[in-house]
Amino acid sequence: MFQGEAASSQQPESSVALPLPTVEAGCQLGAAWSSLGAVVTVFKAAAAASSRPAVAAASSGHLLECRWSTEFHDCDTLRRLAAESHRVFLTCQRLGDASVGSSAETREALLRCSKEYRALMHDCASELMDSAAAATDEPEAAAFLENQSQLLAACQILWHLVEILWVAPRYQSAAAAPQILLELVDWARLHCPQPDRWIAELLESANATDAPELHQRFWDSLYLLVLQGRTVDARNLLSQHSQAGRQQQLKDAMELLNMPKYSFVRDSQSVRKFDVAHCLWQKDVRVRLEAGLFAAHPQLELLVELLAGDEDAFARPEIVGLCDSWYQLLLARLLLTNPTGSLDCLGREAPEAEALYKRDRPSQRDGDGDGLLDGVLVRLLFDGQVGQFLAEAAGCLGSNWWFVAHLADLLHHCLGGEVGGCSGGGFGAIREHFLLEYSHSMLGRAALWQLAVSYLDYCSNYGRHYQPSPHAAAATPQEALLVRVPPESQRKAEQIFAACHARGLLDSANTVARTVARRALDKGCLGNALTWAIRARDPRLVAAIADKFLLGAGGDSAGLARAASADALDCLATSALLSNRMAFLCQYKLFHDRVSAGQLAEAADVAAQLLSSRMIPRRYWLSLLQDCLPLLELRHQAVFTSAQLFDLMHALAELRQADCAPAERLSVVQASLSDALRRAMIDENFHYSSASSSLMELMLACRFSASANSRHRSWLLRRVSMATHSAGAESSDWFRGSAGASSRFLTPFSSWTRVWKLGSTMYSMKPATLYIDRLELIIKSDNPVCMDKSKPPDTAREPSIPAAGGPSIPQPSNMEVDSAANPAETPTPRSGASQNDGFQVVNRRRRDDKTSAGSERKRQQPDERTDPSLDPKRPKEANAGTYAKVATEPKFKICMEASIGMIDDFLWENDALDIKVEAIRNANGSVILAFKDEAQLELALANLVSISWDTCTTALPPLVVERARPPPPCRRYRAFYSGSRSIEEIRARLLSKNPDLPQDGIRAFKEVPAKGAPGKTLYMGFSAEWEDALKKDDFAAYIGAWKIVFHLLLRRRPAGDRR
Amino acid sequence: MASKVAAKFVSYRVSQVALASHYTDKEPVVAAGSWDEGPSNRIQLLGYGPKLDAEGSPRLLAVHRCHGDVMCLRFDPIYQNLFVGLGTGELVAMATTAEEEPGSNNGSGERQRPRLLRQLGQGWRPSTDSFGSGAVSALAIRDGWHALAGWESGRLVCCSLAVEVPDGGCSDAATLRPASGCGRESVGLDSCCVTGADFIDQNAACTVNSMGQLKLWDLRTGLGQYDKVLTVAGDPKAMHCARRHPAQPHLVATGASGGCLCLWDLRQEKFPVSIVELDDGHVTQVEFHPVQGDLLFVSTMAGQLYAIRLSDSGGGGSAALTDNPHLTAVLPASQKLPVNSFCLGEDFLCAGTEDELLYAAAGVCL
Repeated sequence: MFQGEAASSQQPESSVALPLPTVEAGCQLGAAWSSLGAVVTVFKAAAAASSRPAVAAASSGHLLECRWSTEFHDCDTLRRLAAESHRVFLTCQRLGDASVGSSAETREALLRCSKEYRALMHDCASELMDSAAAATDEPEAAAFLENQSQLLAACQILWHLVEILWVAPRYQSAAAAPQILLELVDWARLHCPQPDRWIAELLESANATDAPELHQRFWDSLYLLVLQGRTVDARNLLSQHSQAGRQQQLKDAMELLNMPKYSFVRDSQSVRKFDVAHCLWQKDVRVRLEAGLFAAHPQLELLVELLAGDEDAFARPEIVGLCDSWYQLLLARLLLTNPTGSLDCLGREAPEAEALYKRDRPSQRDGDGDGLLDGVLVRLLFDGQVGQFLAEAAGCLGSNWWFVAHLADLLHHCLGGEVGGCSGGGFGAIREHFLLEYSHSMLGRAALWQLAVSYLDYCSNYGRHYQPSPHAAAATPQEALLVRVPPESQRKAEQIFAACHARGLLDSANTVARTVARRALDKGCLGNALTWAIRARDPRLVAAIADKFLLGAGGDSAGLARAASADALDCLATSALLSNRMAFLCQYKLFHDRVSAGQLAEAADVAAQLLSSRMIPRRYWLSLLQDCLPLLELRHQAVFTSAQLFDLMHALAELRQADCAPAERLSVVQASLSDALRRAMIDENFHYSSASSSLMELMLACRFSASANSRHRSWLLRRVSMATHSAGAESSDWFRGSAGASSRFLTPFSSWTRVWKLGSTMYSMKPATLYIDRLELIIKSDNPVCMDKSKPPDTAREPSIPAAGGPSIPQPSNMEVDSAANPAETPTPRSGASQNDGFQVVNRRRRDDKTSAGSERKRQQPDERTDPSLDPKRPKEANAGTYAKVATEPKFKICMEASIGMIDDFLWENDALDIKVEAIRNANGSVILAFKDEAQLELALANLVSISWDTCTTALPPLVVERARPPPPCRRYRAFYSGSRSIEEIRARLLSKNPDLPQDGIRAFKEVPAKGAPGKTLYMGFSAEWEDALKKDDFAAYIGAWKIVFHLLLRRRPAGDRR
Repeated sequence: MASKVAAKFVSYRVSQVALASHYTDKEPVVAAGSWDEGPSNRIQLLGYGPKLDAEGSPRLLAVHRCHGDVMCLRFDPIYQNLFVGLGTGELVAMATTAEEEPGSNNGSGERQRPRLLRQLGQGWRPSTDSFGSGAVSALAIRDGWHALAGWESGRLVCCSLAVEVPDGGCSDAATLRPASGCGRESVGLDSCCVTGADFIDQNAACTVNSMGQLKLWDLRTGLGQYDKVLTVAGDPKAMHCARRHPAQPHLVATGASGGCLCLWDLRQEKFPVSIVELDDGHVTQVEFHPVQGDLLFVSTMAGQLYAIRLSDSGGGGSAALTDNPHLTAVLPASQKLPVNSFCLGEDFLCAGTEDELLYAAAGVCL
């Protein structure tokens, strides 16, 4: 790796030879900019040019880093200048914020700032000169240091001039002109120390000789002292003349050297008094000169002529030759000829003085001087063209933007925008341009990024965001700069991030955080990556990190525990919610932490929540379930509640269905779950009404236990039967937990089955004006369903299948015995039916008459075949339900979907299946859902699995189940209907719709006494199509049911409807 | 606050400063390290005059060039060796020796100021894994030999400086290596960047990390597993520094992002005793006054260095922060860029800033 320093502050346009040792003629070179600018990496490109510089460079093996504008980077003194001037700059900004060029105090403070700048420049120039003197071994470094020192000295001279003319607060005062002239003369004297050196030499030589006037510089020194207005020094020097006490001319000259001095007082009288005094003094000089008092002494005469303000004397070659610059000559002439003139004289007389000065220096032309002090810049200042002066100075200084940036800023605060020589947006635009350039020039070294950013704070137009600007073409705004600063360490990244935040650049802050997070992620430091990703508020990145955690886990339990052992997950708090995966990890860790802390119940709660929320990726379900095994197998303590265990069972069932885990492991978990559930139920003295969907879950548990443990299964089935038995009495409790604006309630299917068959329970909506969005019924049956009514099933009947309805049918005490005793006899009408073992219990109970339980049931229900609905001699439609396993798809689900509307406005009907659900407004204002299934025998054996709905109300529990009356003795009472039409009309209508419908089915309806309430008219809508879109994640899919969706059509109310 | 404050531009961004406590406060010796300077990174030994005389400008005693950013800098209190954590991930021990200048008169019996800074043996870094450990981000020194260092990768190592004096008597043959007598496991791993560390006592240490956790480590059982973890409730705030109370080791002060200053009582279960939000800038360092334990100094990324008087309202006679503590600014208000580090003596304070300034303050006792 080579590093080339191509620094050239004075001549940036000059060519630089790059020392690439392996480059031969004709080879290709590539170059890449650094992220911060002012650095270009040059490399030898490979033969096959790659689009990626790094690749190409690697092929050549050499990189050449070219930097420029590096004077502030490599020289400690100039670094100090940059850092220290930054503080003065900040002070100026504070002053400028208060007021721009207004109060005298502010102006005085700004003047102090200007002097601080100058002192800093002077100090650094001296230090650079000392360093140059010390660097004798390195001539190049010494030359550079000396060059920089001279540059700073020249800058200081110009700054001083600007300070006198523009920064000093007396600029506005007319009385200040003589004072300013004196200061200008002093300024010229300070930067022209020649006479002092001559005088020192002269005095040293005078010690050897008694006649100093014989020294070649005696009279030159005298003239220069007079030109600089130092008449007192001139008189003192003249007094050293060997004949000073003896020659009258010398005495007269010394007397004339008592030139009046102006002292600044804030009134116009002082100027007038000084003017009079000066005129009188100069008149005395002229009188003595014209009297020829000094004619015998030509050198003395020239001195007096200068005092008299004689123009010819100033044009004398020996006088012009003494001046280092034309403005020194100009100021001397003004001082001695027109000391009280306005500052306009500076610009007016400057050309003449310049011409006079250059008359004797034919080789010196514009621009041939030392760059800054060749007169062009000073003349612009004398002319009042400050803006032009800054532009010229920037051109002279090349890449050194320090001077013009700080000076422009100071002038901006002193003068505001009212400065001559400005164009294109005023002085503020020039200032901002210089500040942008200066901050950009500091980016060659990463160490200065803080300063660069700080300067950009005060570039209000282009400093923060990208703006199209003719001035800021090369500038980098903060939002771009901060994201390019390389965050090599965490600490530096913190600083960059804080800098972004402090400036309200939240996008940049997020970008920085994202960059650091990705770097950490690449390095495998997941904790750091997570920290920064959270700061970036980047959900995708957080998810990616969580994936990394999980990837390391490998999918097994131990790996997952290892991943969650990272304590970085401990304190994420709400940040964990940025990603589901991360939330899962945190919860998983919480689970382990609680297990470790012995908080087993809390741990169980976390595990159940994790599994029920489906937040956890499926491939980790088994791991989590296995982690729960120690808790499940605790014999002395029921850690999980039955409800939590049902959640676990659901997850396990889903896993089994997805077939994504080894069956052996699932079986182990399943056995533990069943066992734990039994213990939990015993501990809780389980009652179905304690949990909303407990009955269904019980059935689920039965199903689980079928393959796990027959004893458990029997126990569970017994529980199921108990629950089913008392469902009607306490079913209202189940529903109260399902209130909500959009409640989805899954009722225990067994109880609905019972209702379906008995028609004994009314399901009513409250309030009556409830609007629903959707009502869904899931009906399942293992029995064949004849989809095409014109073609009834022709396969063998299943005589053992019970008839629908009948008050004596549900005898739960027998159900579990039958099923448990004959699990092998479970009919499997089609593949996958084994998943529904638990649901088939009810339908199979007639088949096990040989068992003792079956005998008992038989005793309670003397003869099923006495039921007319099971009579094979009945019409085939009436006996449709007795056909068993004839259809290839024996299970189905019916979903009835309603449009938005009042629930009592509709009657849902599945035309194909002849299922009717009627919504009836009851006399007390509630709405009754009635299921009219009596005539549909093939459906009589179907189980109503669930009812669910979405409502758009936020009222009380919308649906309550109320046991309106005891189960009617006659199964014909299927529903209660209150309407204006007679039951005959309805019957006729049904008959017209389905002429084959037996009369028995029509008798199922009975008019309910309205008790004063007006009658209701039912309007029916009929579905037009079936939809078979089984969803795998649906509960119906789980139980193997069909999904049939009915789209209800609103029917228009007939005229005269009084509702 | 301070009777006299002097500032010196040092032409490098001061990353860390450390006070050689071996020398008296009258003539303090300070080590200052730079960062972000590439090959120009350095460590300087600077000597201040008594009462910050001679315009408060320090005298440059020694310079050592570094190959990486100086991320951590600590003098050991006994032998005055300088432990340096570098941005390259290397941990280096350096000796400060007072070699006599030709012609200097040192017969007064006073301890000589160091004139030379030289590295002791090779630097040490954790065994290289596939990605490296990142920069050294935390360092604490105990009893002159043991150092507890933390890396950005979360690596935590208890090192000891083993001085091997062969027959020739050359004391330069000192090497840093994981301490064998420091516990069963001298290498540990935190979950994220370790940003601060300090020894609580001979057998315990505390660290803070960028996830906002304060962890306690029992050194007798090693660094394999932390003993206790304490956090601030709510969303995580990265902690940047930790320092224990000089007289009450159960009291630990930590500084975090958002100007959050916490005072912890390690005897409590989980949460801090006091939390104070200073300003918008992150807290970069906290230090208790070595003698006046109720005086807490805090530097921030907003360029402030405050002195805070603790109250006695904490339970068990321990100190606590009031809700609105009186903040006494030590540095001038013109300081705007971050104060990266500071070191504290009995009557002397030195602070290094991002804008290349080295402040020295005398009379810091309130």
